[in-house]
Amino acid sequence: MRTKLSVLLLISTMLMGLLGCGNKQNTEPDSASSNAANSSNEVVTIKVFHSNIGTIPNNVLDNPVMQEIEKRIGVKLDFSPFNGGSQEDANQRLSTLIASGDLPDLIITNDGSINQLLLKNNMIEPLDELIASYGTDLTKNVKEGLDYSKAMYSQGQDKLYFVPGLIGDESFYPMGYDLVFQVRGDLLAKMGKTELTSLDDLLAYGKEAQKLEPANAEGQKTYLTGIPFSDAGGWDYVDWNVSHNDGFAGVNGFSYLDSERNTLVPRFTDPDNSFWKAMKFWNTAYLDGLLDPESVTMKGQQVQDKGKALRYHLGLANWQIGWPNNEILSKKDPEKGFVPTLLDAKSDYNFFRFASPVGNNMLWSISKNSEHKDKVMAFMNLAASWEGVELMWNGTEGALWEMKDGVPKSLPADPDKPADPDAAKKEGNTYMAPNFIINGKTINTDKNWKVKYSDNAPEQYITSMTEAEKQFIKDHNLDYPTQIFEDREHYSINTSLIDPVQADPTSDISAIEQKIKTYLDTNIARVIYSKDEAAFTAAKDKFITDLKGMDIDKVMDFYKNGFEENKKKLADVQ
Amino acid sequence: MKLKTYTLKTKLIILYVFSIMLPLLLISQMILSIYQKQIVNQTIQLTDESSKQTSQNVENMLEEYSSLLSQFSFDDTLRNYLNPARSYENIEDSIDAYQYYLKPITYDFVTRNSTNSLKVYFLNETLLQGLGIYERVDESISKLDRYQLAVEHKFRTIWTREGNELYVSRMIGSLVGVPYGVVSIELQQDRLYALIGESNPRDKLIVILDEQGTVISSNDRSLQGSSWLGKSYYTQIRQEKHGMMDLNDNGKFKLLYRNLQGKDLPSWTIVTQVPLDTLLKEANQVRNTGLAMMAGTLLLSILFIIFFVNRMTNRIRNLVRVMSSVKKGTLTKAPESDIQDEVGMLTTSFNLMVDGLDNSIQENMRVQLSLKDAEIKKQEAELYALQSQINPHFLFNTLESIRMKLLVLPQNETASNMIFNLSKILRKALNWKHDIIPLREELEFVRSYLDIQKSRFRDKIEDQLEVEEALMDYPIPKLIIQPLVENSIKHGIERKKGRGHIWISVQSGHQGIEVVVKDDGLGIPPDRLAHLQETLGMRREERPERESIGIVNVHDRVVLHYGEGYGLQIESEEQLGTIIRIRLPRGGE
Repeated sequence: MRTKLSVLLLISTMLMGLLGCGNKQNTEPDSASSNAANSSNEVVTIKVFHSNIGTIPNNVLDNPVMQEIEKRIGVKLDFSPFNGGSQEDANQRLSTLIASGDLPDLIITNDGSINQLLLKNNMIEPLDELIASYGTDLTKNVKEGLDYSKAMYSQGQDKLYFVPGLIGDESFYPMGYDLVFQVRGDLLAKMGKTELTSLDDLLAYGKEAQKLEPANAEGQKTYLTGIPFSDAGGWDYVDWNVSHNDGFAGVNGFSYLDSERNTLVPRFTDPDNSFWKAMKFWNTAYLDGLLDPESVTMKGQQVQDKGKALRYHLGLANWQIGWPNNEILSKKDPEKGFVPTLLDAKSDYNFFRFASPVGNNMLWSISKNSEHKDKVMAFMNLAASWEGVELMWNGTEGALWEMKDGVPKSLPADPDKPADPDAAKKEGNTYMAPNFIINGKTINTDKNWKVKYSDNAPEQYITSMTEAEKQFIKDHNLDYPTQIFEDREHYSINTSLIDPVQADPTSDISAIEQKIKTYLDTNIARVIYSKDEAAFTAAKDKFITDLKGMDIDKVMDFYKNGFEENKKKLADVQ
Repeated sequence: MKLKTYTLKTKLIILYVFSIMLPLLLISQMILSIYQKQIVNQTIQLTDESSKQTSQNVENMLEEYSSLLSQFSFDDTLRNYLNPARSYENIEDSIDAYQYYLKPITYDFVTRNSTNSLKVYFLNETLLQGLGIYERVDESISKLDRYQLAVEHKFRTIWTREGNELYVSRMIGSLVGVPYGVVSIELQQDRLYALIGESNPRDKLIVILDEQGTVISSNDRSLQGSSWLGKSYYTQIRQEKHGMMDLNDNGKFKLLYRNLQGKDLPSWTIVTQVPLDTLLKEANQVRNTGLAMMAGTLLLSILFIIFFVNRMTNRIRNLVRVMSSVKKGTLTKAPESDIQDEVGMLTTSFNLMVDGLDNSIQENMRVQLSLKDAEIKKQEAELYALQSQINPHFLFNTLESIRMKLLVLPQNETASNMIFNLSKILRKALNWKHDIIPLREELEFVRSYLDIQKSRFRDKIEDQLEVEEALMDYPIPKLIIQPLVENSIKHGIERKKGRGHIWISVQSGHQGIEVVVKDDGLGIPPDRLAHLQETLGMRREERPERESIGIVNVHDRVVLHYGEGYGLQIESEEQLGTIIRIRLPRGGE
């Protein structure tokens, strides 16, 4: 019987062998159906949305940093959901993605209302289990940020939904003029000045500068500066530096956070505050022909383009005018250069450097629909690990840095060659840091070195300075330009208690808020563009009256109360 | 060698090779060849379909751009805002223009397109530039192909390539054709590439040529920007709407081409080049793999067939060998297995036949031996009887008696009877030809014998015969009573003092016929009786040779003739006499 069976089996096998080749079936495993929890070595492309990203040249970047990330964690980043634009563009894009049900795997936005919407509509994944499985560096290095987020952003749920960016950041940039005015040091020198001290000085500088340099090298007309009023919220630049000099930070709820008193004060409806001081300044600048008239129709990109083309003599922030010093260095211009200046700055409380001990308001969340939650968390963990953070800040070894005496240090700039303004783009680190960094701490406590390797070689700062900056530090006896404000007692503001306060997107407060934002978008420029002082005063009065008529006080109260409540919550967390 | 002489195994394998293996190989070869051609044809067909689809997709994408451009170009309000005659001396007018119209109409584009590729070049001198979209026409813009050609061709859609960038543009102007500006969109080459970039250029090269024969996109990115104008077939592929041709250019290729068709579409050609060598190589690989698999499978099957045929023919060969030995007289059985096929059944039947034959031979031999034995016994009896009758002692005694009678004349009658009886005995002994005789004749023989003995011993012997008349013709083997009577006289009465009696009776009973010979002679000593009874109870072959030939011979012949259960019984008591019973069946045979 056994023989009979074996004969039958043999015959069946032969028949199958004979016939089988005619019926070839795909027996490969269905690679597309891989489970989300399957954290294999397979390279996975995750779609990323970042609302404040610089312009990304391709949806998927191919550079050493990206290759290293892929090698380390098997993740490719696809920026197709949004590859650059204004905050307004970003919000529109994200709203479209939400509406079309096509949420990217990783969502990073500082729009509190959208984040609330995502959480309220159950569109994002609780992160606790993912962190437990794939996020050891998150809990090891930035636990305080996670605890803070759970307490502040999870709307009472005992789960973590958002991971804030740059937890523990102190935003130290030796040549980073992010919160202070920056003027052309070479023009100042030509004017016979070493510094400016007031806004009036600045106006005088503008006029003088236009005379000294009425057009750029290409013959295009120059201005003091431009403000991208055509971007939603572009008016934020109006009082950006003036309020910082006064120790205020513009925050949610149309308010300032007064760093000295740690309280919220009106931003738009107090006729004698920093905002209106700045508004008056810009009106004067406009009337004097110093403000680029196209400001009213420009978007941020155009302002940056003009800044790079050295059509502006004043910068309100490095990025606002497109990091012109990099352009100057790349052209090896022997004299030009922007230097910081502190105008009418208070002596004790200022806002010249960002600080986010428990993270900023750029919140990271993972879409519930993502098929690669494990890989997204792997990327988030990389952004919290020392190795990942240092890769993002500095690029790969040998390109922009090297190990020297057991410490990683930036490569010194070659004095004989013009600096390549795109070096960090080619390496890829510029697309990653600081936007994709969660662990913002400056010192790697495992290795005891600074995570930004340029800070491990401060003696090399000077090799990356323009001639004007070199002159500036010499005149002021500094090691680096931003050291100018470091002798002050308080020069950074932590907004982590006001950032989480958000009105429910469906509430009256939110409706009022939206209405006021639209009003601000369309009317701030109009006030600035008033034809004369009388018109300005009238426009100002109307502006304040209109806002009050729109119940701006209700919104301010809502945020003020929220801020006070968060103070208590923070006390509980601590 | 003739086929007839081949073994069954060889015949079966030849049958398999010619009826299965060769046809299968032949069919496989044919099928695979057809399949190979099919692969090539189907691939070309699929490529053609795919090329058609690609062409359709490219057309759809370009139409999308063209349609978007039309929206801007024919937008009355936009035209109104851009009208060079409109004054924006007051900056607020520019602010309003952007706030209320110029910005909102670009929302959709900006939201859907990741790069800021939309440009509206305008001639108005007072409108502010803005959004990175609206730009006043200056000297550099007026020199751009996308601007110049759009203005030149009025409201026609213009497709231009400037450097590596592709643009589509269209004039904005008054209804009578006075230009107000030009709207231009830069084509996202990634989108174009995405439509063709998936296939590997080594398997299928796809290029999109513009009307100047320059490659504007290809799945082989190194070809971008190269010119195909110099290719010999360039003119042909530009002439027909679509088609295909064979091409020998560093290898064999199939060239499929399609020219875009549409009012607002550019005169682009999509060319797909399929390397036939690679295709044939793949098809050959498929065929060779198929054949190798087939050969492997057939090899396996022939091994299986040989194994199977071997097993089958081995059993037949074994059976034939055993049959031969049986034929030669050796009754050997063939080894049996548990396989119950025809060969198995044949083996079983053959073994049963051998068993039967063996049994028959054994039985036959037994019968033959019995017959032989009976014949010998009979002959022994006859010889003994004859020997008895003619033995010199008997004859001497008989003749001595006759002589003595003759001496005494008054006894001449007795002598005469003796002679008469002797002659009867001799005659019987000599004339009994048959083995079976009627009881009557045996009794007559006994009578003659008794009479002789009685004449010899005068009145010493007295006899009595009691025989049912009906039994007189009862057939019995000859000489079964006379030896018993002789035995009684010889061993019982002759040496007894005084007279002796012999009773002979033949009676029919329930259990058959009983012949009793009884005497009152000396009897048999117990040990001798026991020995005799034991001898009678033994089978003949167990018995010592020539044992008590008289009585035992009678017993043996009765048993041989009638079978077990019949024969002699002896009872005797010393000095009292002996009774011998012969049991015979009722029917006689």
